[in-house]
Amino acid sequence: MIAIDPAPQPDDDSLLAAEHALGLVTRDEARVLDARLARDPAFRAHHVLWTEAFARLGQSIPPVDPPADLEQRLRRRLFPDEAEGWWRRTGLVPALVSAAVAGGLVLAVGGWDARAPWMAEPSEAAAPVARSAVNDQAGRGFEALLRDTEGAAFLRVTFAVQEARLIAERPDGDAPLRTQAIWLWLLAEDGAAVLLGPVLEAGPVHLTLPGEAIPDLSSMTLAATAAPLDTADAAFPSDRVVATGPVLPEAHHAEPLASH
Amino acid sequence: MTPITQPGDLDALIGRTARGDRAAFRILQAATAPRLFGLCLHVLDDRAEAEVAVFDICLTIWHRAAEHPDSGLDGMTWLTVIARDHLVVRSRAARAARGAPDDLALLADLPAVRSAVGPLGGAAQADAQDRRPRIELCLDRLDPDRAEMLRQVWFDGLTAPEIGQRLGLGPEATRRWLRTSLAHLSRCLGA
Repeated sequence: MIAIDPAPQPDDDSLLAAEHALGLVTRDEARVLDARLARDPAFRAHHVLWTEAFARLGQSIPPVDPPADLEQRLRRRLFPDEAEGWWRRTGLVPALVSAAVAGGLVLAVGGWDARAPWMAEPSEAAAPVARSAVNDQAGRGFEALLRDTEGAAFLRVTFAVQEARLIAERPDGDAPLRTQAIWLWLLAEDGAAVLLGPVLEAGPVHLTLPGEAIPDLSSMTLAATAAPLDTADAAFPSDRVVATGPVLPEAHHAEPLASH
Repeated sequence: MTPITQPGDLDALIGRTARGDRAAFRILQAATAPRLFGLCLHVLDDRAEAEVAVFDICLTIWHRAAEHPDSGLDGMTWLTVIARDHLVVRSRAARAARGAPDDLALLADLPAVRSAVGPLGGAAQADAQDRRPRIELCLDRLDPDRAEMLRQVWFDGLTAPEIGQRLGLGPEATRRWLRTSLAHLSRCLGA
């Protein structure tokens, strides 16, 4: 049985704003109310309150990993001129890659001393060489371990090549990120760099692996940079590198990956 | 998992996107697509449709980012509203294509389905209680029929005529019924 109340309404404007925010008014009413929103701050304030309140319903839905090729499809649709230019060329990258590969894979970057608050302390047991393992595409596992400038394990990355996806997570797992966002980059031997995305969560973060990169993965290096979320740039910020790890075939390693 | 994203970060990224900053858009998309895709799946309950929807929503965000400052909404709310508006259009079109009567019958079953799926029980409910948004707590204090109808209005884009058809009420009585529901909610929300 549906109860019909006599309708003692506390604030008609608030309820009218709610009806409009929810799309419960007719098109003619919506046109009138749209015009009122533009000239009536009090009515607009009601509208914002209701919109925000109901939007919380949507924001309480658990996140789900989107399709792995979402970014690639968006890029093709919106930025067709990037088809061959997505890998951003920068003269700084070859030196970085060379240092990472030839210089013991622990990269010291001048000027960097702002460690993220959750960055792992260096371990005495830390290997002097950052180890990463990436296999061919025959179905074996792929992973990489990025180490910071002092050799401490910083970020563990697992590749799922067939799904064009990679998963990044911090080895210590539970310390929250605070003021810095960590950006993960894939660096090619020839100096190209591509931003894979931000690592925004303390737990596993799924990122898209560019299809173009897959054939050459075994010659690439992963780099993590730290910067506020709203200052990330398209260009690879070599002065903000906090950790690196080369991507090498698993067969190159005699021992399994370890955090420390 | 603890997100580090601050509200102002998203606002700044949307602002940069509005100025055509592709890197900012890529970051915005990477940061928010999981939440938007989760909403798409929840509403459409079909992965293929949800994949199309989240793609279209991201395109919309790129094209309409310049409208964000005028909305008066924080970044995540604005993105959620963009997604919700898109999903409502899809849901209404799907209902129209399938034929309203059958679909309304399905919608009538939603409370029972959602009741069967949740809510959480026992300790889990107690743990989750203080993390739920206020709108959820206030809806829980409404008559269940009213609360479920308002949830369907937001998630599924149920229209006033569809509600009237569900309730067997004419347009004026439907509007009074809705306004009474919203008035109860308003008192709880302090809106």
